[in-house]
Amino acid sequence: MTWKKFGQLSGTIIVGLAVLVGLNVLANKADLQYDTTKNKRYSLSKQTVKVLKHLERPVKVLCFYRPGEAERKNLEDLLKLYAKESANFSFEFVDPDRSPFRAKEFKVRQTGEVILLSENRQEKILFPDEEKLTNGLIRVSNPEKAKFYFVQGHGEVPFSGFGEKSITQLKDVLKNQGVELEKLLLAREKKVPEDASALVIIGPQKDFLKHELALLTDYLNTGGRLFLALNAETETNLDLWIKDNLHLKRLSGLILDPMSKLIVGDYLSPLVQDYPYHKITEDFNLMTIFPTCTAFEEEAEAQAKYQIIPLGRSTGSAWLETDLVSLKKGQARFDPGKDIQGPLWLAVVYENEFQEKDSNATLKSRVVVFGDNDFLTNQFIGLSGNMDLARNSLNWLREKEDTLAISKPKLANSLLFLNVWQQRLITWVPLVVLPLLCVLMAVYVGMKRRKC
Amino acid sequence: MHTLTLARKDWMILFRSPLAYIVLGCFLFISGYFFVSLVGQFQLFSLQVMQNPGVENFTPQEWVIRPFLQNAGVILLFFIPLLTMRAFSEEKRMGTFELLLSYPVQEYQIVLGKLLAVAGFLTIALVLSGVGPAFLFVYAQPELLPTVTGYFGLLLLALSFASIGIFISSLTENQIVSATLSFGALLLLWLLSWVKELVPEFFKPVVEALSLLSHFDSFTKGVLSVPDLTYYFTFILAFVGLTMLSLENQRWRA
Repeated sequence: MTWKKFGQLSGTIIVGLAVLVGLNVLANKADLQYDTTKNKRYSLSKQTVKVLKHLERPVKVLCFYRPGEAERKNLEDLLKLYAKESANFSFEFVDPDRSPFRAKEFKVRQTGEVILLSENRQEKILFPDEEKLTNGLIRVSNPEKAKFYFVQGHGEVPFSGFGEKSITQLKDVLKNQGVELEKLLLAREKKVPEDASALVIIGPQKDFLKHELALLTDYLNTGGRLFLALNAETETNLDLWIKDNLHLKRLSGLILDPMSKLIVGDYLSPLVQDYPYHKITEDFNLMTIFPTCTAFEEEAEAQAKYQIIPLGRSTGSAWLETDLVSLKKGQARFDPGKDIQGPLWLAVVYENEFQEKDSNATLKSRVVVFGDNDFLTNQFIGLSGNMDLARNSLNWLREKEDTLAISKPKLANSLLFLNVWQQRLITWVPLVVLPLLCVLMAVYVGMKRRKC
Repeated sequence: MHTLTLARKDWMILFRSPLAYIVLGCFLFISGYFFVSLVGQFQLFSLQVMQNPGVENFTPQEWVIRPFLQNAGVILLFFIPLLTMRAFSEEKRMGTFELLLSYPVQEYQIVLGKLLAVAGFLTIALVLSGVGPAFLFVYAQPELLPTVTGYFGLLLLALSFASIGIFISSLTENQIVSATLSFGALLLLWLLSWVKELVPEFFKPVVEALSLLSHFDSFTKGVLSVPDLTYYFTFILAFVGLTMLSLENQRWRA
């Protein structure tokens, strides 16, 4: 080969390679992708993208993982998606064995710990997924704190209990969002504490003292936020307070839903799939289930003064059974005239905007009322969208819409059980029949060639 | 037109020898074995998931089809050098190489013809390997679009393997040397994704970007991404170009 030819050849190769590498660099810069999965599980949710777009301070994520750990690859892919959305977001993987000092500095005790750093604040998360990461991001980049008071003293679901009748799962989710939680004995107070982001009352079974109801009224009239989940089986004087102050009538009786018998296996656990438009249920497409639930009705003309919207409605086939005696005997049936045909309001949102008397500042009181308290307990909160609805409602009350992280729709688990014939078919055809056919073809072709 | 004629010629030669069927049979058997064991495992886990409702995203897509596609990619790495070793080496051994170069065809037509013939074979192999997953669509609910995306990625991966194989085959007349070198090159490009942890921080993205299998991962998830598509297209283009240069050089020398 002459030098000239060699020069030409190397020149062509170098120019060609440079063009191809350039194309790849450009494609990597653009970094477009399309997720074909049904629930878009390999893309970020709208909520996360929104949080990232509003990220004003730099946040760095340190992930303590050993190389080759199973979960590491998934996390890395996820963090790359985050980094794509915001220039303020960066991440680094640290091997705790090779950098023991850094692990010690951040008090990392095991792999799988992830530290979010922003200025001088830090948050620690264990084995993060999108939800944990996004909420961690919100906490680390927004210093303000929220505090929920759980009212006790009227047979409510205990604040510090354990087991399936308690609300530890809900509390954990709130704590994860950086919300402080504390119990409150209203009777002892002269005023609802100033630092309350919202009052939470779950399943009261005894009447409130007059003094307590007055505190609630005062609180509401000064822009208070309330989360009420009533005990469907017990009526208290709180129902009257709701009627007078929120202009909502609690109906007597329990909701029966033939649809829920088909899906959940129980008539008394009405399903909600119909959510009229509200911030809380925006993009919400999960079913919620309320084991034993009562219903509400708004008072005539209240709508003109206040914003009262049903948060969730039952199916049309459900009805409110008023005859509890026959219900107990298992003989309940729809009784026109007495019972009320669905769709029924199972949960209601109340909002009232008004001017404060002294300062003329605009105040906004917000209340969410549920006709059931069981759906918040550990036993039922994991069902379908119950947790999301509860958390979104509480977040709406504290007016921090950024934290409204509705988890991505989960794909229904798809199980596989094959009968003997199906099992044989799915085993024999790919494993034996097809390869054998190929071998037979090879023998046939070989013999034919030999004959030639 | 010439390209298609050349592709058809190669295709006929390929399927008139027992080698193609043996390679196909072995590929189907090994990929079938992985498929059947993944299905068995999935059935076993199904029983456990039924008793443990807390598990999420338990679908045949994630547990059978995605790992199956990943395995199929690795299995192809072993078999494709056996197909491409013949491309030019055999022509050289049989003495038809000079004849081929004397045809009134361009180098790119010769190379594309060879690649198309292998692509045809690979398409048949992938369709046949899809029989198992097709059964899964009857008995369970995997997702169609991600599966199709995964198979598309597998075809691109296989074509990238083939383009390297064809290039190496154009360099030597010994088929064994050709197959061994192609296999070595593919293995090296595959292993790159493993060594990325060991190289200095600065080189990590470069090493990761070069690895053939790390670009395949997004396809198996059902994600179509422009960088990965560009990688495979430019990879194939680069080796088609190199093969063309190699042929041109040999024609010039002849």
